[in-house]
Amino acid sequence: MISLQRRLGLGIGVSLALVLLVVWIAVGWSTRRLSEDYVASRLEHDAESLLGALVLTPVPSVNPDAVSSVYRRPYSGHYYIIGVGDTTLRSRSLWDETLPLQASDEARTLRMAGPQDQALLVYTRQYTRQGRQLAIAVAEDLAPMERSIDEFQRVIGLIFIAAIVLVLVGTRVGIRRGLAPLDDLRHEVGRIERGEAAGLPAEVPAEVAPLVDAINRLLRLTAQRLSRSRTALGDLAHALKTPLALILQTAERRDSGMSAQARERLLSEAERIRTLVDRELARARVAGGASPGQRFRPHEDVPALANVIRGLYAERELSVTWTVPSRSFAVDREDLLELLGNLLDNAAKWARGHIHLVVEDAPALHLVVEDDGPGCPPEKLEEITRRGVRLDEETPGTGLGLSIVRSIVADYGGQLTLGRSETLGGLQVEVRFPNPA
Amino acid sequence: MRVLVVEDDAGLRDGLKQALNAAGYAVDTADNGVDGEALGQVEPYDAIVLDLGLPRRNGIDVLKAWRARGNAAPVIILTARDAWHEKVAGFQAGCDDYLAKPFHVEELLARLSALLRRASGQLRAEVAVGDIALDEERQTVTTADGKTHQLTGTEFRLLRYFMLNAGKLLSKSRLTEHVYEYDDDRDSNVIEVYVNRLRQKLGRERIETRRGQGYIFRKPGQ
Repeated sequence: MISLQRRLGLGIGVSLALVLLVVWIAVGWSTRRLSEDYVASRLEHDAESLLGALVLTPVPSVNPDAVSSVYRRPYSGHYYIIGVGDTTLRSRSLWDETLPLQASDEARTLRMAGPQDQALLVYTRQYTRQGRQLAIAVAEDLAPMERSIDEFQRVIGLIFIAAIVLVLVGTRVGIRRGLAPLDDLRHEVGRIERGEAAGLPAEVPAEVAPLVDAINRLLRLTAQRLSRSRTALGDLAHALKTPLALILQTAERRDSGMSAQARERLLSEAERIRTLVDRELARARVAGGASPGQRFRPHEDVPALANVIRGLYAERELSVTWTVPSRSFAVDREDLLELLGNLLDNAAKWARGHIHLVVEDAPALHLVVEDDGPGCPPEKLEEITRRGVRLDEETPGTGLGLSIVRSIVADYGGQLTLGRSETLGGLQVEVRFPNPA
Repeated sequence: MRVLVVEDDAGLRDGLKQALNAAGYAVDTADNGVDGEALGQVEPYDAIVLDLGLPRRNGIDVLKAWRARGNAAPVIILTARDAWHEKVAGFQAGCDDYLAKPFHVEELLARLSALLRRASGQLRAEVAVGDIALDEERQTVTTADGKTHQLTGTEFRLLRYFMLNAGKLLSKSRLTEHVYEYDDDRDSNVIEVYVNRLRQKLGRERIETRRGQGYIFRKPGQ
């Protein structure tokens, strides 16, 4: 995966390092140049002074008072040598070393190794005084200066490296800061996924705003499509079921003039259509985990459902009890009502008198519905969930309930377990939702 | 027993009316929410069969309007909208039972009968007062001596209303209202004729006359 941070950091770091390297080399080179020129001009000046202090008669000698004392200290780093005819005058500092003498009027500057590892810069030139040719070479040790320059260059180098590190860290922080809104957006999208929010917040940096707008538009479009298709399905249900009711009603009429066989046929086919319509509509209605619908509030929705069950089975005087937490859950309310409604309805068909419902926050949603009915032998349990078949054909119902439950649970990636209720003795159905991401 | 059917599909509405008439109910119908709400509010129905997807006014709103104005008539919602959140909304609006389309007429009749019995405080699965039992299916009555009498349509309707309101003083006009449909010619004197016919079958003392006030169908020990 491409990392913007690495890309930007690498680009900035490499180019900055190259520029600073060139600057570092240039600064070192020019400092050396300047210092050498300066030393050379000083040597020229010293040569002229020596020339002034030179006494040619009776024997060539140098007036010791007219030259600097550094020329007398051995290996001081400052040397001269003067050649007049056969006589060679050398500074005391030079001891028994020698310097090259120039044999032309042209001044020359050259570098050479001196005593004690000294790096000498030699200025050498030939003069004509009182009709005599004389050559002077003056030298100075550059090593101390070069050491200073090296030191100077090391310091600049360190400063440059520090600058590069600083710039890299700065870029990194800048990119982090700059991309932080994207991180926030990722969290917001997560909340939408869990159904905790309907859209992204509008207060975002200008650069991210178009992206946020686009995502929000997409969400609205999806929600619209979902609600449109749900409405369309509801309308289809209505449109199909009323004529179907009419078909059933006509077929059941004793004065319909149909033979018993024809009536039987018509009724069973109508029943088949009804089953198909019911199943497909119920499945299509399930919003699934990704829909930002209404939240499920067990402390309000469960009593309402219990009331429906009591109403539908008013003849039976069922007692429906429940244990529910007071928090709400980010799952589609309609899906949960469909799920619990079918579970309670199934329990009500079998229960002798008592149904208990538990909604738990563990931390994901966890549902348990149990009844005090006859329960179910283990080998049949699997079959019931798989195909939605009914065990007892005498109990009214289409047997669709559990298969709808199964498809809702599957849509949410949950887990459905059937078993025996330990407290009530009948069937126990358990639905475990996956932990929120 | 007088029942209101609010249903917009003409075929289904007519079929329901026929089936309910055959089962001994006086039936009025409305084909939209607004008319249905007005009828339900004005006439003293014993039960109402209400569709939800109605033109002009939604069935849930109609039901809420009735309940808000203190109309406590038992209501069965009969609808194609059978999702559980819709059932919850129906019961929250104040319905007493909920039947999904398509339905079997027998189931509607059974639920309607159960609803009427519950509303009158009868806990048994059949309409019975003391040793007199009404067979709603065959529209016959069985008396203490074990004899079964066939009933005509109006006799059956009148007797069922008496038995479901046993022990209460019922005026002639009230009996008329609950036995006849909105469009029927109502002559409260005809009630006297039918009461006499019932007395011939059940025994004279069973239905007591309160002069100028009405009749009481006696409960055991009354």
